[in-house]
Amino acid sequence: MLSVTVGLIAFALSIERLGLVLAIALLTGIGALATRALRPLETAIAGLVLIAMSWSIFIVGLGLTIPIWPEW
Amino acid sequence: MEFFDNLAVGFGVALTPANLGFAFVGAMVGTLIGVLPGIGPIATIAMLLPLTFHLEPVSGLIMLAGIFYGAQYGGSTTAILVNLPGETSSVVTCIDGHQMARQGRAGAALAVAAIASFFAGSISTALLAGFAPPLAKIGQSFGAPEYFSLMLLGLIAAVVLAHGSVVKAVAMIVLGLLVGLVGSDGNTGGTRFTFDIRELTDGIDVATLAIGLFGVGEIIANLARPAEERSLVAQKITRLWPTGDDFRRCWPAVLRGTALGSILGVLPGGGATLSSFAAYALEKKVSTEPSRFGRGAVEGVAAPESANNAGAQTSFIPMLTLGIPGNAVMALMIGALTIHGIQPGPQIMSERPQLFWGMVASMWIGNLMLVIINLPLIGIWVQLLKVPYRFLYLAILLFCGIGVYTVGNSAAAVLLAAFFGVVGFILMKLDCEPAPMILGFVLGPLMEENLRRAMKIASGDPMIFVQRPISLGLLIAAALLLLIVALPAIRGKREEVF
Repeated sequence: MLSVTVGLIAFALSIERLGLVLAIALLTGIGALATRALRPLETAIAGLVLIAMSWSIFIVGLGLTIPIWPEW
Repeated sequence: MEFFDNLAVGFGVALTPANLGFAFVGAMVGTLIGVLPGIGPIATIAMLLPLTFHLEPVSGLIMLAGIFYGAQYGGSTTAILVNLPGETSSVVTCIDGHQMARQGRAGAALAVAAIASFFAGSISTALLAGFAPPLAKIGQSFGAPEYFSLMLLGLIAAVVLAHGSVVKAVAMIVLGLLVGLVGSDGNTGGTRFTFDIRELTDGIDVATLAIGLFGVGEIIANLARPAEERSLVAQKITRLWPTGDDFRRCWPAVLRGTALGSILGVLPGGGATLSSFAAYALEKKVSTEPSRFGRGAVEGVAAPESANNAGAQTSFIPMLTLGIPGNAVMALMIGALTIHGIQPGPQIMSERPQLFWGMVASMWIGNLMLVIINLPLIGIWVQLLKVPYRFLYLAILLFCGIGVYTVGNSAAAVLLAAFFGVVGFILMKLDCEPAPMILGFVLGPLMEENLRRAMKIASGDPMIFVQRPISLGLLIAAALLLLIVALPAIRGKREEVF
Protein backbone atom coordinates (compact mmCIF):
# COMPACT_ATOMS: atom_id res chain seq x y z
CA MET A 1 0.00 0.00 0.00
CA LEU A 2 2.74 2.38 0.99
CA SER A 3 4.89 1.93 -2.08
CA VAL A 4 1.98 2.35 -4.52
CA THR A 5 1.05 5.61 -2.84
CA VAL A 6 4.63 6.80 -2.54
CA GLY A 7 5.26 5.86 -6.18
CA LEU A 8 2.33 8.00 -7.29
CA ILE A 9 3.43 10.87 -5.06
CA ALA A 10 6.93 10.66 -6.52
CA PHE A 11 5.38 10.79 -9.99
CA ALA A 12 3.36 13.87 -9.03
CA LEU A 13 6.37 15.71 -7.65
CA SER A 14 8.71 14.83 -10.49
CA ILE A 15 6.56 15.13 -13.62
CA GLU A 16 6.88 18.91 -13.93
CA ARG A 17 10.53 19.24 -12.98
CA LEU A 18 12.10 16.00 -14.17
CA GLY A 19 9.80 15.23 -17.08
CA LEU A 20 7.80 12.22 -18.13
CA VAL A 21 10.63 9.74 -18.69
CA LEU A 22 12.23 10.08 -15.26
CA ALA A 23 8.83 10.33 -13.56
CA ILE A 24 7.77 6.99 -15.05
CA ALA A 25 11.09 5.44 -14.02
CA LEU A 26 10.50 6.64 -10.45
CA LEU A 27 6.90 5.42 -10.43
CA THR A 28 7.75 1.93 -11.67
CA GLY A 29 10.84 1.68 -9.47
CA ILE A 30 9.04 2.59 -6.26
CA GLY A 31 5.75 1.02 -7.26
CA ALA A 32 7.41 -2.32 -7.99
CA LEU A 33 8.43 -2.63 -4.33
CA ALA A 34 4.78 -3.32 -3.56
CA THR A 35 5.09 -6.93 -4.59
CA ARG A 36 7.91 -9.35 -4.07
CA ALA A 37 6.87 -11.19 -7.21
CA LEU A 38 8.55 -8.63 -9.49
CA ARG A 39 12.23 -9.28 -10.21
CA PRO A 40 14.54 -6.28 -10.79
CA LEU A 41 15.07 -7.15 -14.44
CA GLU A 42 11.32 -7.46 -15.01
CA THR A 43 10.82 -4.09 -13.38
CA ALA A 44 13.37 -2.47 -15.65
CA ILE A 45 11.76 -3.96 -18.75
CA ALA A 46 8.28 -2.97 -17.56
CA GLY A 47 9.55 0.57 -16.99
CA LEU A 48 11.03 0.82 -20.48
CA VAL A 49 7.89 -0.58 -22.11
CA LEU A 50 5.74 1.87 -20.17
CA ILE A 51 7.94 4.82 -21.14
CA ALA A 52 7.73 3.83 -24.80
CA MET A 53 3.98 3.29 -24.59
CA SER A 54 3.16 6.56 -22.84
CA TRP A 55 5.43 8.49 -25.14
CA SER A 56 3.77 7.10 -28.25
CA ILE A 57 0.19 7.36 -26.94
CA PHE A 58 0.22 10.64 -25.07
CA ILE A 59 2.95 12.70 -26.70
CA VAL A 60 2.92 11.49 -30.31
CA GLY A 61 -0.66 10.20 -30.55
CA LEU A 62 -2.56 12.82 -28.60
CA GLY A 63 -0.09 15.67 -28.63
CA LEU A 64 -0.37 16.43 -24.92
CA THR A 65 1.93 19.06 -23.56
CA ILE A 66 3.74 17.13 -20.86
CA PRO A 67 7.42 17.86 -20.26
CA ILE A 68 9.44 14.86 -21.41
CA TRP A 69 12.96 15.58 -20.20
CA PRO A 70 14.22 17.54 -17.18
CA GLU A 71 14.52 21.28 -17.64
CA TRP A 72 18.18 22.12 -17.42
CA MET B 1 -42.11 10.36 -38.98
CA GLU B 2 -39.97 12.49 -36.77
CA PHE B 3 -38.61 9.47 -34.91
CA PHE B 4 -37.13 7.95 -38.05
CA ASP B 5 -35.75 11.29 -39.18
CA ASN B 6 -33.98 11.50 -35.85
CA LEU B 7 -32.64 8.00 -36.15
CA ALA B 8 -31.39 8.81 -39.64
CA VAL B 9 -29.55 11.82 -38.24
CA GLY B 10 -28.11 9.59 -35.55
CA PHE B 11 -26.86 6.92 -37.92
CA GLY B 12 -25.48 9.67 -40.13
CA VAL B 13 -23.35 10.83 -37.21
CA ALA B 14 -22.47 7.39 -35.89
CA LEU B 15 -21.52 5.93 -39.26
CA THR B 16 -18.85 8.47 -40.12
CA PRO B 17 -15.48 6.67 -40.23
CA ALA B 18 -14.13 8.62 -37.28
CA ASN B 19 -17.07 7.87 -35.02
CA LEU B 20 -17.17 4.23 -36.08
CA GLY B 21 -13.52 4.13 -35.10
CA PHE B 22 -14.20 5.66 -31.68
CA ALA B 23 -17.09 3.28 -31.06
CA PHE B 24 -14.73 0.42 -31.93
CA VAL B 25 -11.95 1.73 -29.68
CA GLY B 26 -14.46 2.15 -26.86
CA ALA B 27 -15.82 -1.36 -27.33
CA MET B 28 -12.31 -2.83 -27.46
CA VAL B 29 -11.08 -0.97 -24.39
CA GLY B 30 -14.31 -1.85 -22.60
CA THR B 31 -13.89 -5.54 -23.38
CA LEU B 32 -10.25 -5.37 -22.33
CA ILE B 33 -10.91 -3.89 -18.93
CA GLY B 34 -14.00 -6.05 -18.60
CA VAL B 35 -11.91 -9.16 -19.07
CA LEU B 36 -9.19 -8.00 -16.69
CA PRO B 37 -10.19 -8.20 -13.06
CA GLY B 38 -8.87 -5.36 -10.98
CA ILE B 39 -9.77 -2.49 -13.24
CA GLY B 40 -13.31 -1.39 -13.85
CA PRO B 41 -15.19 0.96 -16.14
CA ILE B 42 -15.36 3.77 -13.58
CA ALA B 43 -11.58 4.04 -13.25
CA THR B 44 -11.02 3.64 -16.99
CA ILE B 45 -13.58 6.25 -17.99
CA ALA B 46 -12.14 8.61 -15.41
CA MET B 47 -8.63 8.09 -16.83
CA LEU B 48 -9.75 8.72 -20.40
CA LEU B 49 -12.02 11.63 -19.50
CA PRO B 50 -9.32 14.30 -19.85
CA LEU B 51 -8.36 12.92 -23.26
CA THR B 52 -11.86 13.42 -24.65
CA PHE B 53 -11.23 17.13 -24.40
CA HIS B 54 -9.21 16.79 -27.58
CA LEU B 55 -12.06 15.08 -29.41
CA GLU B 56 -15.43 16.19 -30.75
CA PRO B 57 -17.94 15.95 -27.88
CA VAL B 58 -20.00 13.30 -29.65
CA SER B 59 -16.93 11.17 -30.46
CA GLY B 60 -15.75 11.37 -26.87
CA LEU B 61 -19.12 10.29 -25.52
CA ILE B 62 -19.41 7.49 -28.05
CA MET B 63 -16.06 6.15 -26.91
CA LEU B 64 -16.79 6.45 -23.19
CA ALA B 65 -20.20 4.85 -23.60
CA GLY B 66 -18.57 2.00 -25.53
CA ILE B 67 -16.23 1.38 -22.61
CA PHE B 68 -19.15 1.16 -20.21
CA TYR B 69 -21.26 -1.36 -22.11
CA GLY B 70 -18.20 -3.13 -23.53
CA ALA B 71 -17.14 -3.89 -19.96
CA GLN B 72 -20.46 -5.67 -19.42
CA TYR B 73 -19.61 -8.05 -22.26
CA GLY B 74 -16.00 -8.59 -21.27
CA GLY B 75 -16.78 -9.13 -17.60
CA SER B 76 -18.74 -12.26 -18.37
CA THR B 77 -15.80 -13.90 -20.17
CA THR B 78 -13.65 -13.86 -17.05
CA ALA B 79 -16.59 -14.89 -14.91
CA ILE B 80 -17.25 -17.97 -17.04
CA LEU B 81 -13.69 -19.06 -17.72
CA VAL B 82 -11.88 -18.15 -14.50
CA ASN B 83 -14.66 -17.97 -11.94
CA LEU B 84 -13.53 -14.46 -11.11
CA PRO B 85 -15.84 -11.59 -11.91
CA GLY B 86 -14.12 -9.27 -14.39
CA GLU B 87 -16.61 -6.64 -13.25
CA THR B 88 -18.91 -6.37 -10.26
CA SER B 89 -21.84 -6.64 -12.66
CA SER B 90 -20.82 -10.17 -13.60
CA VAL B 91 -20.43 -11.52 -10.06
CA VAL B 92 -23.54 -13.66 -10.36
CA THR B 93 -22.57 -14.89 -13.82
CA CYS B 94 -19.72 -16.76 -12.11
CA ILE B 95 -22.10 -19.02 -10.26
CA ASP B 96 -23.63 -20.88 -13.18
CA GLY B 97 -21.32 -19.73 -15.95
CA HIS B 98 -18.23 -21.27 -14.44
CA GLN B 99 -20.09 -24.48 -13.68
CA MET B 100 -21.06 -24.70 -17.35
CA ALA B 101 -17.40 -24.22 -18.28
CA ARG B 102 -16.38 -27.01 -15.91
CA GLN B 103 -18.86 -29.30 -17.63
CA GLY B 104 -17.11 -28.57 -20.91
CA ARG B 105 -19.76 -26.14 -22.07
CA ALA B 106 -17.68 -22.96 -21.86
CA GLY B 107 -18.37 -22.13 -25.51
CA ALA B 108 -22.11 -22.37 -25.06
CA ALA B 109 -21.97 -20.25 -21.91
CA LEU B 110 -19.94 -17.54 -23.66
CA ALA B 111 -22.26 -17.57 -26.66
CA VAL B 112 -25.38 -17.35 -24.49
CA ALA B 113 -23.84 -14.46 -22.55
CA ALA B 114 -22.95 -12.58 -25.75
CA ILE B 115 -26.27 -13.21 -27.49
CA ALA B 116 -28.26 -12.33 -24.38
CA SER B 117 -26.24 -9.14 -24.00
CA PHE B 118 -26.75 -8.20 -27.63
CA PHE B 119 -30.49 -8.82 -27.51
CA ALA B 120 -30.83 -6.81 -24.30
CA GLY B 121 -28.62 -4.06 -25.67
CA SER B 122 -30.72 -3.70 -28.82
CA ILE B 123 -34.02 -3.60 -26.94
CA SER B 124 -32.82 -1.15 -24.32
CA THR B 125 -31.25 1.13 -26.92
CA ALA B 126 -34.65 1.21 -28.65
CA LEU B 127 -36.22 2.05 -25.28
CA LEU B 128 -33.73 4.86 -24.84
CA ALA B 129 -34.60 6.23 -28.28
CA GLY B 130 -38.32 5.93 -27.61
CA PHE B 131 -38.59 7.22 -24.05
CA ALA B 132 -35.94 9.91 -23.98
CA PRO B 133 -37.74 12.55 -26.11
CA PRO B 134 -40.99 12.60 -24.08
CA LEU B 135 -39.00 12.58 -20.85
CA ALA B 136 -36.92 15.50 -22.01
CA LYS B 137 -40.17 17.38 -22.77
CA ILE B 138 -41.29 16.81 -19.20
CA GLY B 139 -37.86 17.81 -18.00
CA GLN B 140 -38.10 21.13 -19.79
CA SER B 141 -41.05 22.12 -17.64
CA PHE B 142 -39.01 21.51 -14.49
CA GLY B 143 -37.89 24.47 -12.45
CA ALA B 144 -35.36 24.64 -9.64
CA PRO B 145 -37.70 23.23 -6.95
CA GLU B 146 -38.60 20.21 -9.11
CA TYR B 147 -34.95 19.53 -9.83
CA PHE B 148 -34.05 19.70 -6.19
CA SER B 149 -36.81 17.28 -5.23
CA LEU B 150 -35.89 14.96 -8.08
CA MET B 151 -32.26 14.83 -6.99
CA LEU B 152 -33.30 14.22 -3.40
CA LEU B 153 -35.42 11.32 -4.63
CA GLY B 154 -32.43 10.14 -6.63
CA LEU B 155 -30.09 10.10 -3.66
CA ILE B 156 -32.62 8.32 -1.47
CA ALA B 157 -33.25 5.75 -4.17
CA ALA B 158 -29.51 5.26 -4.49
CA VAL B 159 -29.36 4.45 -0.79
CA VAL B 160 -32.29 2.05 -0.96
CA LEU B 161 -30.91 0.22 -3.98
CA ALA B 162 -27.28 0.25 -2.87
CA HIS B 163 -25.42 -2.96 -2.38
CA GLY B 164 -25.05 -3.96 1.25
CA SER B 165 -25.72 -1.98 4.38
CA VAL B 166 -28.06 1.04 4.25
CA VAL B 167 -26.14 2.92 6.93
CA LYS B 168 -22.89 2.58 4.99
CA ALA B 169 -24.56 3.74 1.77
CA VAL B 170 -25.89 6.84 3.56
CA ALA B 171 -22.43 7.50 4.97
CA MET B 172 -20.85 7.23 1.52
CA ILE B 173 -23.35 9.61 -0.07
CA VAL B 174 -22.95 12.18 2.69
CA LEU B 175 -19.17 11.90 2.42
CA GLY B 176 -19.51 12.48 -1.33
CA LEU B 177 -21.72 15.54 -0.73
CA LEU B 178 -19.10 16.95 1.66
CA VAL B 179 -16.20 16.39 -0.74
CA GLY B 180 -18.35 18.03 -3.43
CA LEU B 181 -18.53 21.18 -1.31
CA VAL B 182 -14.77 21.68 -1.30
CA GLY B 183 -13.77 24.79 -3.21
CA SER B 184 -15.28 28.20 -3.81
CA ASP B 185 -18.89 28.92 -3.00
CA GLY B 186 -20.55 29.64 -6.35
CA ASN B 187 -22.62 32.57 -5.07
CA THR B 188 -20.41 34.39 -2.61
CA GLY B 189 -16.94 33.36 -3.77
CA GLY B 190 -15.99 32.41 -0.24
CA THR B 191 -13.89 29.27 0.15
CA ARG B 192 -15.16 26.14 1.89
CA PHE B 193 -13.21 23.20 3.31
CA THR B 194 -10.06 24.27 1.50
CA PHE B 195 -7.89 24.40 4.65
CA ASP B 196 -6.10 27.34 2.99
CA ILE B 197 -4.64 25.04 0.36
CA ARG B 198 -4.52 27.10 -2.81
CA GLU B 199 -4.96 24.08 -5.09
CA LEU B 200 -8.30 23.27 -3.50
CA THR B 201 -10.00 26.61 -4.19
CA ASP B 202 -11.23 25.44 -7.59
CA GLY B 203 -12.74 22.35 -6.02
CA ILE B 204 -11.91 18.75 -6.75
CA ASP B 205 -12.36 17.38 -10.22
CA VAL B 206 -14.60 14.35 -10.55
CA ALA B 207 -11.93 12.52 -12.56
CA THR B 208 -9.38 13.00 -9.78
CA LEU B 209 -11.75 11.62 -7.19
CA ALA B 210 -12.82 8.67 -9.35
CA ILE B 211 -9.30 7.71 -10.39
CA GLY B 212 -8.13 7.92 -6.80
CA LEU B 213 -10.98 5.92 -5.31
CA PHE B 214 -11.39 3.33 -8.02
CA GLY B 215 -8.08 3.24 -9.87
CA VAL B 216 -5.46 3.66 -7.16
CA GLY B 217 -7.63 2.28 -4.36
CA GLU B 218 -8.31 -0.86 -6.34
CA ILE B 219 -4.59 -1.41 -7.02
CA ILE B 220 -3.75 -1.18 -3.34
CA ALA B 221 -6.61 -3.52 -2.46
CA ASN B 222 -5.54 -6.07 -5.07
CA LEU B 223 -1.93 -6.06 -3.93
CA ALA B 224 -2.94 -6.38 -0.30
CA ARG B 225 -4.91 -9.52 -1.12
CA PRO B 226 -2.97 -12.79 -1.19
CA ALA B 227 -2.30 -14.01 -4.74
CA GLU B 228 -5.43 -15.81 -5.85
CA GLU B 229 -5.56 -19.19 -7.45
CA ARG B 230 -6.91 -18.76 -10.94
CA SER B 231 -8.68 -21.86 -12.08
CA LEU B 232 -8.60 -21.05 -15.75
CA VAL B 233 -10.55 -23.55 -17.75
CA ALA B 234 -7.74 -24.60 -20.01
CA GLN B 235 -9.38 -26.83 -22.55
CA LYS B 236 -9.94 -25.52 -26.02
CA ILE B 237 -13.30 -23.97 -26.63
CA THR B 238 -14.66 -26.05 -29.45
CA ARG B 239 -18.42 -25.73 -29.56
CA LEU B 240 -19.58 -22.14 -29.52
CA TRP B 241 -23.15 -22.67 -30.58
CA PRO B 242 -25.59 -23.48 -27.76
CA THR B 243 -27.92 -26.46 -28.13
CA GLY B 244 -31.62 -26.18 -28.96
CA ASP B 245 -32.39 -27.04 -25.37
CA ASP B 246 -30.26 -24.09 -24.23
CA PHE B 247 -32.19 -21.75 -26.49
CA ARG B 248 -35.52 -23.06 -25.30
CA ARG B 249 -34.51 -22.58 -21.67
CA CYS B 250 -32.90 -19.21 -21.96
CA TRP B 251 -35.19 -17.10 -24.10
CA PRO B 252 -37.77 -16.41 -21.37
CA ALA B 253 -34.87 -15.69 -19.02
CA VAL B 254 -33.42 -13.21 -21.49
CA LEU B 255 -36.78 -11.46 -21.84
CA ARG B 256 -37.24 -11.20 -18.08
CA GLY B 257 -33.65 -10.08 -17.60
CA THR B 258 -34.00 -7.41 -20.28
CA ALA B 259 -37.23 -6.08 -18.78
CA LEU B 260 -35.89 -6.02 -15.23
CA GLY B 261 -32.56 -4.52 -16.26
CA SER B 262 -34.22 -1.80 -18.33
CA ILE B 263 -36.37 -0.72 -15.39
CA LEU B 264 -33.63 -0.88 -12.77
CA GLY B 265 -31.17 0.91 -15.05
CA VAL B 266 -33.33 4.04 -15.14
CA LEU B 267 -33.53 4.23 -11.36
CA PRO B 268 -30.86 6.24 -9.57
CA GLY B 269 -28.33 4.01 -7.90
CA GLY B 270 -29.33 1.28 -10.31
CA GLY B 271 -27.47 0.31 -13.41
CA ALA B 272 -25.61 -2.80 -14.41
CA THR B 273 -24.61 -4.37 -11.09
CA LEU B 274 -27.94 -4.17 -9.33
CA SER B 275 -29.75 -5.39 -12.44
CA SER B 276 -27.69 -8.56 -12.71
CA PHE B 277 -28.16 -9.50 -9.05
CA ALA B 278 -31.89 -8.86 -9.19
CA ALA B 279 -32.29 -10.79 -12.45
CA TYR B 280 -30.53 -13.84 -11.03
CA ALA B 281 -32.69 -13.77 -7.91
CA LEU B 282 -35.82 -13.45 -10.06
CA GLU B 283 -34.84 -16.38 -12.30
CA LYS B 284 -34.27 -18.60 -9.31
CA LYS B 285 -37.67 -17.66 -7.96
CA VAL B 286 -39.70 -18.30 -11.12
CA SER B 287 -37.83 -21.45 -12.13
CA THR B 288 -39.70 -24.73 -11.82
CA GLU B 289 -36.49 -26.51 -10.84
CA PRO B 290 -34.53 -24.02 -8.70
CA SER B 291 -32.10 -26.76 -7.71
CA ARG B 292 -30.45 -26.52 -11.13
CA PHE B 293 -29.10 -23.09 -10.26
CA GLY B 294 -25.50 -23.18 -9.14
CA ARG B 295 -24.92 -26.32 -11.17
CA GLY B 296 -24.61 -24.81 -14.61
CA ALA B 297 -28.13 -23.59 -15.41
CA VAL B 298 -28.07 -21.70 -18.68
CA GLU B 299 -30.76 -19.30 -17.39
CA GLY B 300 -28.35 -18.29 -14.64
CA VAL B 301 -26.04 -16.92 -17.33
CA ALA B 302 -28.63 -15.52 -19.72
CA ALA B 303 -30.68 -13.54 -17.20
CA PRO B 304 -27.93 -11.56 -15.42
CA GLU B 305 -26.00 -10.95 -18.64
CA SER B 306 -29.04 -9.53 -20.43
CA ALA B 307 -29.99 -7.54 -17.33
CA ASN B 308 -26.60 -5.92 -16.81
CA ASN B 309 -26.39 -4.82 -20.41
CA ALA B 310 -29.97 -3.50 -20.43
CA GLY B 311 -29.30 -1.67 -17.17
CA ALA B 312 -26.10 -0.16 -18.54
CA GLN B 313 -27.91 1.26 -21.58
CA THR B 314 -31.03 2.57 -19.89
CA SER B 315 -29.03 4.32 -17.19
CA PHE B 316 -28.23 6.82 -19.92
CA ILE B 317 -31.90 7.91 -19.99
CA PRO B 318 -31.95 10.14 -16.88
CA MET B 319 -28.48 11.46 -17.69
CA LEU B 320 -29.31 12.50 -21.24
CA THR B 321 -32.85 13.72 -20.66
CA LEU B 322 -32.68 15.41 -17.26
CA GLY B 323 -28.96 15.89 -16.80
CA ILE B 324 -29.08 13.82 -13.63
CA PRO B 325 -26.62 10.97 -13.22
CA GLY B 326 -28.03 7.73 -11.83
CA ASN B 327 -24.69 6.08 -11.08
CA ALA B 328 -20.99 6.81 -10.90
CA VAL B 329 -20.34 6.18 -14.60
CA MET B 330 -23.09 8.61 -15.59
CA ALA B 331 -21.61 11.14 -13.17
CA LEU B 332 -18.38 10.91 -15.17
CA MET B 333 -20.32 11.29 -18.44
CA ILE B 334 -21.71 14.54 -17.06
CA GLY B 335 -18.11 15.50 -16.40
CA ALA B 336 -17.27 14.74 -20.04
CA LEU B 337 -20.09 17.00 -21.22
CA THR B 338 -19.06 19.87 -18.98
CA ILE B 339 -15.43 19.62 -20.18
CA HIS B 340 -16.82 20.68 -23.55
CA GLY B 341 -18.95 23.39 -22.01
CA ILE B 342 -22.19 21.53 -22.68
CA GLN B 343 -24.75 22.08 -19.95
CA PRO B 344 -26.34 18.69 -19.23
CA GLY B 345 -30.12 18.81 -19.14
CA PRO B 346 -33.29 18.41 -21.15
CA GLN B 347 -32.18 21.01 -23.68
CA ILE B 348 -29.46 18.70 -25.04
CA MET B 349 -31.92 16.83 -27.19
CA SER B 350 -33.38 19.87 -28.88
CA GLU B 351 -30.19 21.93 -29.08
CA ARG B 352 -27.79 19.16 -30.00
CA PRO B 353 -29.76 16.45 -31.78
CA GLN B 354 -26.58 15.13 -33.42
CA LEU B 355 -25.05 14.47 -30.04
CA PHE B 356 -28.03 12.63 -28.63
CA TRP B 357 -29.09 10.63 -31.67
CA GLY B 358 -25.52 9.96 -32.71
CA MET B 359 -24.90 8.38 -29.34
CA VAL B 360 -28.05 6.28 -29.48
CA ALA B 361 -27.19 4.99 -32.95
CA SER B 362 -23.60 4.28 -31.95
CA MET B 363 -24.77 2.22 -29.00
CA TRP B 364 -26.55 -0.18 -31.26
CA ILE B 365 -23.58 -0.36 -33.63
CA GLY B 366 -21.26 -0.81 -30.66
CA ASN B 367 -23.33 -3.73 -29.39
CA LEU B 368 -23.10 -5.38 -32.77
CA MET B 369 -19.32 -4.87 -32.79
CA LEU B 370 -19.09 -6.39 -29.34
CA VAL B 371 -20.68 -9.66 -30.39
CA ILE B 372 -17.99 -9.92 -33.05
CA ILE B 373 -15.21 -8.82 -30.70
CA ASN B 374 -16.28 -11.30 -28.08
CA LEU B 375 -17.20 -14.49 -29.88
CA PRO B 376 -14.74 -15.20 -32.69
CA LEU B 377 -11.90 -13.42 -30.93
CA ILE B 378 -12.44 -15.10 -27.59
CA GLY B 379 -9.02 -16.80 -27.81
CA ILE B 380 -7.21 -13.47 -27.67
CA TRP B 381 -8.99 -12.42 -24.51
CA VAL B 382 -8.23 -15.74 -22.87
CA GLN B 383 -4.53 -15.22 -23.63
CA LEU B 384 -4.78 -11.84 -22.01
CA LEU B 385 -5.91 -13.39 -18.76
CA LYS B 386 -2.55 -15.05 -18.50
CA VAL B 387 -0.73 -11.72 -18.15
CA PRO B 388 0.25 -11.62 -14.49
CA TYR B 389 -1.16 -8.83 -12.37
CA ARG B 390 2.31 -7.73 -11.30
CA PHE B 391 2.86 -6.25 -14.77
CA LEU B 392 -0.63 -4.87 -15.11
CA TYR B 393 -0.72 -2.87 -11.94
CA LEU B 394 2.30 -0.77 -12.87
CA ALA B 395 0.66 0.15 -16.17
CA ILE B 396 -2.65 0.93 -14.47
CA LEU B 397 -0.90 3.03 -11.85
CA LEU B 398 0.94 4.99 -14.51
CA PHE B 399 -2.22 5.64 -16.54
CA CYS B 400 -3.92 6.79 -13.35
CA GLY B 401 -1.06 9.25 -12.81
CA ILE B 402 -1.00 10.59 -16.34
CA GLY B 403 -4.80 10.68 -16.50
CA VAL B 404 -5.10 12.83 -13.42
CA TYR B 405 -2.21 15.03 -14.45
CA THR B 406 -3.72 15.86 -17.83
CA VAL B 407 -7.07 16.96 -16.33
CA GLY B 408 -5.60 20.33 -15.54
CA ASN B 409 -1.84 19.87 -15.97
CA SER B 410 -1.69 19.92 -12.22
CA ALA B 411 0.71 17.86 -10.15
CA ALA B 412 -1.33 18.73 -7.06
CA ALA B 413 -4.25 16.77 -8.52
CA VAL B 414 -2.03 13.67 -8.69
CA LEU B 415 -1.18 14.07 -5.00
CA LEU B 416 -4.88 14.39 -4.28
CA ALA B 417 -5.57 11.20 -6.26
CA ALA B 418 -2.92 9.39 -4.22
CA PHE B 419 -4.71 10.56 -1.08
CA PHE B 420 -8.09 9.37 -2.38
CA GLY B 421 -6.46 6.08 -3.31
CA VAL B 422 -5.67 5.46 0.34
CA VAL B 423 -9.18 6.60 1.27
CA GLY B 424 -10.63 4.22 -1.31
CA PHE B 425 -8.59 1.33 0.05
CA ILE B 426 -9.74 2.02 3.60
CA LEU B 427 -13.36 2.24 2.43
CA MET B 428 -13.08 -1.09 0.63
CA LYS B 429 -11.57 -2.64 3.76
CA LEU B 430 -14.58 -1.34 5.70
CA ASP B 431 -16.95 -2.89 3.13
CA CYS B 432 -18.17 0.54 2.07
CA GLU B 433 -19.03 0.75 -1.60
CA PRO B 434 -17.36 3.94 -2.91
CA ALA B 435 -19.67 4.29 -5.95
CA PRO B 436 -22.44 6.21 -4.10
CA MET B 437 -19.76 8.67 -2.98
CA ILE B 438 -19.17 9.74 -6.60
CA LEU B 439 -22.92 10.13 -7.02
CA GLY B 440 -23.15 12.36 -3.96
CA PHE B 441 -20.10 14.28 -5.11
CA VAL B 442 -21.64 15.17 -8.48
CA LEU B 443 -25.20 15.69 -7.29
CA GLY B 444 -24.20 17.77 -4.25
CA PRO B 445 -23.27 20.99 -6.05
CA LEU B 446 -26.21 20.60 -8.46
CA MET B 447 -28.60 20.20 -5.55
CA GLU B 448 -27.15 23.15 -3.75
CA GLU B 449 -27.53 25.37 -6.77
CA ASN B 450 -31.13 24.34 -7.33
CA LEU B 451 -31.97 24.66 -3.65
CA ARG B 452 -30.63 28.21 -3.60
CA ARG B 453 -32.41 29.11 -6.81
CA ALA B 454 -35.68 27.70 -5.51
CA MET B 455 -35.33 29.65 -2.29
CA LYS B 456 -34.70 32.81 -4.27
CA ILE B 457 -37.81 32.26 -6.40
CA ALA B 458 -39.86 31.77 -3.24
CA SER B 459 -38.06 34.58 -1.42
CA GLY B 460 -36.94 32.20 1.27
CA ASP B 461 -40.13 30.25 1.79
CA PRO B 462 -39.41 26.49 1.91
CA MET B 463 -43.10 25.77 1.26
CA ILE B 464 -42.35 26.13 -2.45
CA PHE B 465 -41.24 22.50 -2.50
CA VAL B 466 -44.66 21.23 -1.43
CA GLN B 467 -46.76 23.80 -3.26
CA ARG B 468 -45.55 22.76 -6.69
CA PRO B 469 -47.38 19.55 -7.65
CA ILE B 470 -44.49 17.79 -9.42
CA SER B 471 -42.06 18.65 -6.67
CA LEU B 472 -44.56 17.47 -4.04
CA GLY B 473 -45.06 14.19 -5.89
CA LEU B 474 -41.33 13.57 -6.03
CA LEU B 475 -40.94 14.32 -2.33
CA ILE B 476 -43.79 11.95 -1.48
CA ALA B 477 -42.12 9.26 -3.55
CA ALA B 478 -38.87 9.87 -1.64
CA ALA B 479 -40.71 9.62 1.68
CA LEU B 480 -42.39 6.38 0.59
CA LEU B 481 -39.02 4.91 -0.36
CA LEU B 482 -37.64 5.76 3.07
CA LEU B 483 -40.66 4.17 4.69
CA ILE B 484 -40.16 1.04 2.63
CA VAL B 485 -36.59 0.54 3.82
CA ALA B 486 -37.70 1.07 7.37
CA LEU B 487 -40.32 -1.71 7.20
CA PRO B 488 -38.85 -4.87 8.70
CA ALA B 489 -40.47 -7.28 6.19
CA ILE B 490 -39.00 -5.50 3.19
CA ARG B 491 -35.69 -5.09 4.93
CA GLY B 492 -35.39 -8.85 5.19
CA LYS B 493 -36.17 -9.23 1.48
CA ARG B 494 -33.62 -6.59 0.61
CA GLU B 495 -30.89 -8.36 2.49
CA GLU B 496 -31.80 -11.56 0.70
CA VAL B 497 -31.46 -10.02 -2.76
CA PHE B 498 -28.28 -8.07 -2.19
